[in-house]
Amino acid sequence: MIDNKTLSDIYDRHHHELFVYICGFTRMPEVAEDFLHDAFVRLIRYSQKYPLDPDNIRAFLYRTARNICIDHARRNRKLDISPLKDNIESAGSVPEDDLELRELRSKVNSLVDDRDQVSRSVYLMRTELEMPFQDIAEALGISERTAKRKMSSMLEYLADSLEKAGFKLFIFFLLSLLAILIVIYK
Amino acid sequence: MKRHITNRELARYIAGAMSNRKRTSVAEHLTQCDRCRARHEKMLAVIAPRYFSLRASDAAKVRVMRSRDKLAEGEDAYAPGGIRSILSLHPRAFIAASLALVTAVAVTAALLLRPPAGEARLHLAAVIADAGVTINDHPVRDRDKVFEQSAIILPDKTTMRLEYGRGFSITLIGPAIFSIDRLMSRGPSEPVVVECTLAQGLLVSASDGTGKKVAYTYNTPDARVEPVGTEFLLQSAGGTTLVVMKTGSVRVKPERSAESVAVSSGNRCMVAEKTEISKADPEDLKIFGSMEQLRAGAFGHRLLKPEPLGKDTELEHKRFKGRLIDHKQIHGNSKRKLQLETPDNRDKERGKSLRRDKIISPVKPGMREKDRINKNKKLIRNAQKAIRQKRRTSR
Repeated sequence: MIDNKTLSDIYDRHHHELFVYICGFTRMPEVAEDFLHDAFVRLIRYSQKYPLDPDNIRAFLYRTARNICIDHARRNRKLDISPLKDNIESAGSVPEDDLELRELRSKVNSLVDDRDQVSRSVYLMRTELEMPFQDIAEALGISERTAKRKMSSMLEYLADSLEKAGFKLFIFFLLSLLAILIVIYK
Repeated sequence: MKRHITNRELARYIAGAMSNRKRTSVAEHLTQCDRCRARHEKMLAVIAPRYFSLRASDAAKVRVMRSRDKLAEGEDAYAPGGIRSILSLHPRAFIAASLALVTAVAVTAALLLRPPAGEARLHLAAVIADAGVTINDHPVRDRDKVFEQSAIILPDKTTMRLEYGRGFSITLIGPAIFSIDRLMSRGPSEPVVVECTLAQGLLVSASDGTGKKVAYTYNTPDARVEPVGTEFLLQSAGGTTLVVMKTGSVRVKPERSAESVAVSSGNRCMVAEKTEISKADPEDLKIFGSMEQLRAGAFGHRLLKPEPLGKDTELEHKRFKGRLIDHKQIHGNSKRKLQLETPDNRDKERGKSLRRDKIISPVKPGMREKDRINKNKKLIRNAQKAIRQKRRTSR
């Protein structure tokens, strides 16, 4: 079984990236902390049965965290439980009061949720943790090429969807303007 | 690059999944094209890291280390506390304890809700019942339960047999008005007390002493008959009570006399103005041989002349211990109708005293039978109406 010092080292080394990764799935820091704990408990249990390979610990933790998040999402789907709003504050350089950006991010969140788990993982690791594709590939157990392809695909999907949304908004704006003009000049 | 950047190119550029040559070309375009630069900046803003600044609390590490210690000691890291811990650790014991608790509650409730032995509600079984026979205005079917406070009306040429166990039976032959006034037992070792009233008609009572001991009594308008393990015939008609003994003996107490007389086997007793006991003719005892012949009226010459139901009889109701009410006295109706009234059911509706669901007679009565049934129903309805009127006027 893993000893206290090793566990403490592993925790210190990986807990932040794992926490951010889980937050990307759950969008609730309190829940993410619970899942982080669960992921480490599974690691401890695994170490009770099998010897740990230091090279695989990170991949193990990511895989476990992802599985826990997937289980949570399934349960929530059954129970119809979902966070009422994205309660995690923006950490970027963009001002908070930018309403349009908030809406766009909310839209991106829902778009990301629609994609498969591997694509979501790649996207979160790349955007939130700025991990190199090699590390992403190792952590997720996929090839680097696949990781790049998944990321490109995700971004293209986001760009297309946002463009369509913008086009719809533009058409709506035009129609509203037209309606106002008709009312005025009638 | 002279054209605008496509979404795919922008995605690959941001993702870093682009060749160096292409990447340089896109970067050059972005410096020159405001529109594409705006798109690029918008995309970067949208996917900017949002959660990186978040930190897990220090308590999370403590929790993980504590879980490690628990697992090292062989405990479950998620072991719940309180009653949930018992459920998770010993689920079978918990289920068994729950079942035992539920059983204990059910048994206690059953014991508490059980009626006292002295008030156990007994019943007679209607073994045979012809179509047209009614109990409290309900048609009877075979094997129905007949409780106390039941008024039984048998039209002409009908029969009904009531039994308690195998040792005691009453065979009623119509036309007859009969009621079970009391049917109870004080305890398991005490005899069953049966008190019946034969207002008019004919019955054959038999008790062979087997089975549970039954202490039974018959009341007629003229006499009270207390048999002691016997078989005999009892008839009441036209102000006369006839007792024909087959076996055993009965004690007959005429209403008009203070002294009671014992009638032994092979004798017959006629209670009218006077009480006469005579030796029964051997032909009289043949009555007990065939109930069918008795019902058909084959022994009419040896018995009293039966009275039809609903006709004015000469019963002396006042002497009948208040059980019969003369409705002529109540509301001046020319037709005299009989309503059996006992202290216990005085305040009850008669139809409710028979504790059973609505009965559907298995025998479809013919038109004549229907007429008889309707006649009986009408008779009881009128009597009940008269009682209600009387109560109203008395208030």
